[in-house]
Amino acid sequence: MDLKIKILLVLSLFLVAGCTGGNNVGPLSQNYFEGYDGLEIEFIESKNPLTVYERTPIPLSILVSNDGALDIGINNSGKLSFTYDDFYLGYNEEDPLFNEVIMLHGKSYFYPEGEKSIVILPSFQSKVVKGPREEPETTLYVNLCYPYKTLLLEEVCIDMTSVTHDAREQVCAFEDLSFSDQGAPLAITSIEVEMQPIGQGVRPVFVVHVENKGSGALLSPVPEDKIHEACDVQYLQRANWSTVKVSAILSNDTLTCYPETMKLIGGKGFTRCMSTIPQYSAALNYYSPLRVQLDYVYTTSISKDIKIERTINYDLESLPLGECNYWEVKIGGVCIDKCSFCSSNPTNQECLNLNVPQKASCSCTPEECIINQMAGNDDVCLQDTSLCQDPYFCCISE
Amino acid sequence: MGALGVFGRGIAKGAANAGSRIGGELINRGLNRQARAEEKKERQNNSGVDDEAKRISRILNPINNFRENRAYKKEEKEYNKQAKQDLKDARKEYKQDLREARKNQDLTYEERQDAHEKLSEIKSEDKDNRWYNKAGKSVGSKVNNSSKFYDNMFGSDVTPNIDLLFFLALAIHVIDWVTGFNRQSNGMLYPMFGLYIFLALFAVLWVFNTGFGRDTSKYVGLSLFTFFLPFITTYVQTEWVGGVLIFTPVWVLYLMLHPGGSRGIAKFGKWYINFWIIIGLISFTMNITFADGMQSRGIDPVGAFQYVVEVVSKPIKTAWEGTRSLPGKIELAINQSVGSSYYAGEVENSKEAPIGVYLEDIRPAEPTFYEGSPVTIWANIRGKSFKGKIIVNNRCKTKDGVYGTIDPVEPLEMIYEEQNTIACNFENGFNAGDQKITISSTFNFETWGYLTYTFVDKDTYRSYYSQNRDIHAELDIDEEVDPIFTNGPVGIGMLALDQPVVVDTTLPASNEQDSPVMLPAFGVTLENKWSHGKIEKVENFEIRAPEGIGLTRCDHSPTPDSPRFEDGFNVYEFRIQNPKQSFTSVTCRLFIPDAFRALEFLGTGDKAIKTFVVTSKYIYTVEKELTIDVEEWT
Repeated sequence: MDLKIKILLVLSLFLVAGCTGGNNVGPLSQNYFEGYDGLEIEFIESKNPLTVYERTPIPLSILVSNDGALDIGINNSGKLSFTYDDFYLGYNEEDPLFNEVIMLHGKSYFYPEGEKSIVILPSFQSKVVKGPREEPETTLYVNLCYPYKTLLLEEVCIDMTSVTHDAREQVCAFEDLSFSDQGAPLAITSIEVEMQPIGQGVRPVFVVHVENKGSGALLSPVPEDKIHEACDVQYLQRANWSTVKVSAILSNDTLTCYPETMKLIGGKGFTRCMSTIPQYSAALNYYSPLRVQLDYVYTTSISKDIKIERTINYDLESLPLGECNYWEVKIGGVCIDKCSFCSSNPTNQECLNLNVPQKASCSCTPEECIINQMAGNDDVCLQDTSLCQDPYFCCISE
Repeated sequence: MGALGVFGRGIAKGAANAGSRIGGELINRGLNRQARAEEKKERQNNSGVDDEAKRISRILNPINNFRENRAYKKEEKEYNKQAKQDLKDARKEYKQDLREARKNQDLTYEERQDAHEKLSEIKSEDKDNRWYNKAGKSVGSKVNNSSKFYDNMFGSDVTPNIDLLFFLALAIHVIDWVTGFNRQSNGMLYPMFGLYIFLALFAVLWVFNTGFGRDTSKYVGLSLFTFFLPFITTYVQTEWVGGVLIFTPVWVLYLMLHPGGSRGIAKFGKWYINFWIIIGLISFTMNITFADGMQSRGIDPVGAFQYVVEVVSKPIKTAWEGTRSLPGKIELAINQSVGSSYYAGEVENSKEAPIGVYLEDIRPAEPTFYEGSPVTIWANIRGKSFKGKIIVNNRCKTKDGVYGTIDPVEPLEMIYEEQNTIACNFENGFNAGDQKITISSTFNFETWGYLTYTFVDKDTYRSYYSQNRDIHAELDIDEEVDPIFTNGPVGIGMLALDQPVVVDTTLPASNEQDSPVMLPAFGVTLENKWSHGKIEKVENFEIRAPEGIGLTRCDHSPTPDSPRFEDGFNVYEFRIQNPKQSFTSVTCRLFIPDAFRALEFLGTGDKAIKTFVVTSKYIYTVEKELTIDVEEWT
């Protein structure tokens, strides 16, 4: 039996090892309105941090891909921008080779994976770093701003049961709907459905729950006619960032949403959309198409750490010692020793806390100071090397 | 177990050889003890049969096994206690007898020799029977005693091949670790699955031989658990998890807890557990939490290991650094308590360090100097600067203020990195006795400090805050900034403001006047960092604020020509009056002239990154001392 068990277990190992899985779905049957991605960017250079020399160009390029379901075209183009510390980096803003505008097709039959493009960034250059810092480091941020939409099409049941009390079997009953993604960074996660009885009919009300599931942040939505400059005006609307405009149509009925522009708190938010038609009435329940659209401006960003390698540039000029020596002060264009100066100007800023007595001068050698000290005249010499030229000390002249 | 018997026999034999009155008494006592010991041995032999049955029963019945183990431990403890007491009594009695015999001079020299031999025999047997000797002495030795006890009672009870199983489990774990606990289908998924199943099979078929019993599923389950454990990294990607995976090898730990009679495994397990208890206690004492390291950096085998090494070394390092930096902390506390502003900084990790001027290898020219003869002292001087030429003035003097002549007498010029030798001569020499000689080098140097802040608009900040979003995570802003200063004798610390710095860009109403946008305070501390030197004079002290930002309400007045605009900076120059204190600070308030310029300063992005630079040029003196011995002429 032992041998059987061994054989059985070894065979089972091979069986498990041979398992494979997965089904390929053809492009025709593929649902492109899936996932949480919109426009995504990544550096082509994988090195992080990137080491560059001073005053040398930093060749950087990024891969931009539209992994969502919406096309980014000429009217709703995206825009690249950069955040960097201009103490370390700079770039030619007029670089003719660089195009900051991004237009890419979303996922579709023709672009099953979405369109991708390589963008060569403008020629950034590391500046000459001031001072003796040996290994300066900084970070370059590349931001991509783009207007985007999330679309949801779903059939909802217009449930008349509460007003008709019809005993016949109904084709449907209203229920809350839940979703995970719609091929855009902002996702409609659920719709709570209410059928409010009004007179002989009902008024459908939908509470739409929205969540930011993408990797970026939500900016402020712009009117449809200004969508082409959606990214340019964002800095003026910072207080409205993280908001999204919601619109919904039930059959041919444009619903009114309160609030129409909702703010996401903690990446989540909800709005209430209801029909403007007073009531829907029919003898039996029926399905009606509901279309919910979210309009927003989204931003995503990536960063690259840059380490600047200093080119050792021998600066043969000596560090400035100042016009006067350290034991001197400049008075009227002339350097005089601090001892003499402070002796006659004890209240001058240069002389505060030095306590130089009157009639003092740099006239004592160390030996003379010792002799004075031995004679009990401790106050004659000041044991401060910053008042006189070495080896003299500041002392009271006779 | 035969200690008592041997002991009894030894005493009896020794006593019989003595043949004296005391020897007779010893015989009687020894025989009595021998009789007691043999009685005990018989009792043990009789009980051994029953015990064997109990052992089989224990294997068959885990509950009984548990109870009986407990009973055995109790019995063993009592037995050991009794045996220990017997040994103690016997030794005491024998010593007493020997002492009395010596006192009464009743023993001959041979008898005394023989008695001594017997006493040594008792002692050596005592040593040989470690389990016996240890009984009752240490609670920690119970495990050891226990296994030896069973060995003595029933013979060896080591599970066959368990050491090999342990080794295999360890080897497979190491393979798993080295391959990064990889569970990808195109990676180590199937090989590791195969290895862990092989381990389970080995345990079931060649070690524990459990057939189709419940224990088989236990061992297979153990292997599966070990195999699936790394999948946790799919959800939690931290080095901490990586560290846990490395240092908690499930199979190895299981075998440590169930060593199957293998003393090697038990010992290894004991050490392993003790090691982690000690590390845990140190970590706890130093108040270091594992959560500090929870950052999503992915898992790689080396990184995870390094992380654990770091966790282990951190408490020790922290304790050491804490002790080392205590004087500085005390100074800082004193400074703060008297109301002085102090801003800290961090010296740049310099591959060129040390930077500045260093006096090294100060040495006398001769091993002995004589009274009145010339004295020469040599010193190596090394200058290193990343920028500029250092000019060094050297001098030397005795404690009594007698100056020597320096060779070369001219100031030394040092570019980038140079080394030279200086000589200090005292032509007239000294009187006999010790002489302390100080060599000092005064040089010009500069230190630069850098601090990069991230600024965001107030609306942006509030928007993130009100939406319960972490602005640091979403805008990739560090919570803290690290002021950095270049290597050298002086340090520059700066006020590390909370990040990001918020800028109010609210435009004034049409009927309102433009007013400056006030920002938090900005402070700089200039500090002497070398214990063997002092700042003679600060030649120049400048704060460079990025374009658009100004300094105001400073506690030290900037020079009248400040600010001047230079290379994209507003440069403010200050005069530092008293550099001889251990540190001097300047604190100002930052401002932007108006809201329009604040908007311009922030730009169109979600944040702005700006660097402040502080420069200080100064004259510094470094000193080193040497004591020489001057002897009299003989």
